[in-house]
Amino acid sequence: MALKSTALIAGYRGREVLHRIDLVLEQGQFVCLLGPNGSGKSTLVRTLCGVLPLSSGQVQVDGANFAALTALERVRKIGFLPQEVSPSFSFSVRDAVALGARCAITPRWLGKAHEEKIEPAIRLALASVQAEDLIERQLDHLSGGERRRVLLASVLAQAPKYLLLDEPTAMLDLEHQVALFNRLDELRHQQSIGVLVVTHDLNLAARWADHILLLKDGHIVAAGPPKEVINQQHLQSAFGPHFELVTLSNGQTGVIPK
Amino acid sequence: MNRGSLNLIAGLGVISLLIAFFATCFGTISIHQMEAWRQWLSLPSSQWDQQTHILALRLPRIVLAWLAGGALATAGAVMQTLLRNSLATPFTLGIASAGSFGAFLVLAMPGLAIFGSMSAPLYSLLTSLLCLLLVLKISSRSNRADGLLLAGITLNFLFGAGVMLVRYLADPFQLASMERWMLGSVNAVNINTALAPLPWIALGLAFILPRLSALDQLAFDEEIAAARGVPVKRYKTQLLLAAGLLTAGVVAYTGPIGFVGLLVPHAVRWFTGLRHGALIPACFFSGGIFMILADLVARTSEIAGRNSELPIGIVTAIVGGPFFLLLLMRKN
Repeated sequence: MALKSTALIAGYRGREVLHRIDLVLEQGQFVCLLGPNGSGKSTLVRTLCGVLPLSSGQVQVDGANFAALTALERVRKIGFLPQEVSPSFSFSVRDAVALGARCAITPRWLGKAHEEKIEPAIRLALASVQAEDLIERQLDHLSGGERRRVLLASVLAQAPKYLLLDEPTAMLDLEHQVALFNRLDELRHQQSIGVLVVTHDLNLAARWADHILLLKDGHIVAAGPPKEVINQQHLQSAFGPHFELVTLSNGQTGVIPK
Repeated sequence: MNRGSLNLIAGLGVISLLIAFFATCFGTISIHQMEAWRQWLSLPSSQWDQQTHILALRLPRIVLAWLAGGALATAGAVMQTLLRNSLATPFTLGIASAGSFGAFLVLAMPGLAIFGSMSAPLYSLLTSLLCLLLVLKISSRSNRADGLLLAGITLNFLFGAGVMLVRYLADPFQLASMERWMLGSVNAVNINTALAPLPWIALGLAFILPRLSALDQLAFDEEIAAARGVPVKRYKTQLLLAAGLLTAGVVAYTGPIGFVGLLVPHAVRWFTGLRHGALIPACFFSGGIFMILADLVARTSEIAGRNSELPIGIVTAIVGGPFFLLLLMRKN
């Protein structure tokens, strides 16, 4: 049971950004996607969830061709949270999370969802990110950390098997970054969700990921467990010579600027 | 849709019927309603008394007002969602300017009136649809997120310039006709004229109603909507065309009547929330009610020194403007 891409090629308006990417995200696995700006990280997650079309190659979810799935099957398999979410109106937390639940529950005649299933799904999703107390608030009145948790709840309300998050810690302070990664770690253990996170923070990736993909210029330059990927050679080839590796007291590798 | 929303929509439907019913008895001459309705329903027109003839004159404009208000409010709600701009109106993409330009061409050049009295609405409809297609074509070639809005605003200015040019070249008699067109009117001659926009409105609604849950997702975030299986580009094009059809179909027969498409969706969201399953039907009924009441004010107002009707466009602006400001202040 995995989300797989095989020889994936994708880009924008004829410009190829990703070159034959092979990727596997298993259920319950925590994968971090690293790489410099413009390396194709966001393009990759957007292609995996169907926001961008494939130029060639294939994306498979649990053995089925993703392109052949219905909309309902897609939302039950993959949940995607982009870097920026900008609602055009002032959504309440309840409405924002309900959108995720509603699209994943089988519609009845005239598109009417099972309303009686929506409220429990909203509550469950908010509980899984410890945000039940925010349910009556407006999304645009929340702090950055609260907003991220609610947006994550909206995606979790789809009850997806795989979660693709594009820089979920952007604009969050250190405490909230750690809290979010802890929450994702719990989710993958408790619900066997496969988590793929795009991040620029190598230390967070080294601490939480089972597997790291290092992307540069649309190619995977390194893939494997953090200890194998985060080394001086890979760092230098992806980010230049201005970093050095340190070994922390707990044996974990850390990255600091020179 | 939850029970509260269903009750609200059903309630608005009943209220719009009641208001339409009572609006027939008011005007420059009041009529004894029940007797007039009885005659209108049961007797041939040759046996009607004066009051029933007045009822028969008022009914078409009430029907046209209801259809126009409903269509413009619905188009406004859809435009605000698709353009992600709470100030968007049915006229933002230049449809009203283009429609006016088409109608003015006929008014200024009688030789173009090859379809008789239907020429102005038909030319208006054609130029409105041309404008809509141009906006979609131009914006599809733009890489900008706001390409659609900018293309619409630019075409609005271009057709506006065309309108000014035709008005500049027109003689005073033609100018008076153009002035009346610009102020808007729901004064339909008979029930056939009143129902003339119906095919366009029905076509527009046929595209919008099956896509209400997609509109919810689009209002939230387009990337998340795409990941949730909404074909964003295709649906946006279809929904813009649908809102454009609603607008063009109405403008062709009533002229550009402002504020309904801006005010009503905002007021209705206050009660329905953001779900389009409740918002769009409620907008249609509320827009119809608002326009019938605006027409009633227009018909019953006596301007100082003149015993004539106020143009409905002025009424919608005078009533709508302060109400909209009140809504803004309440939200703040």
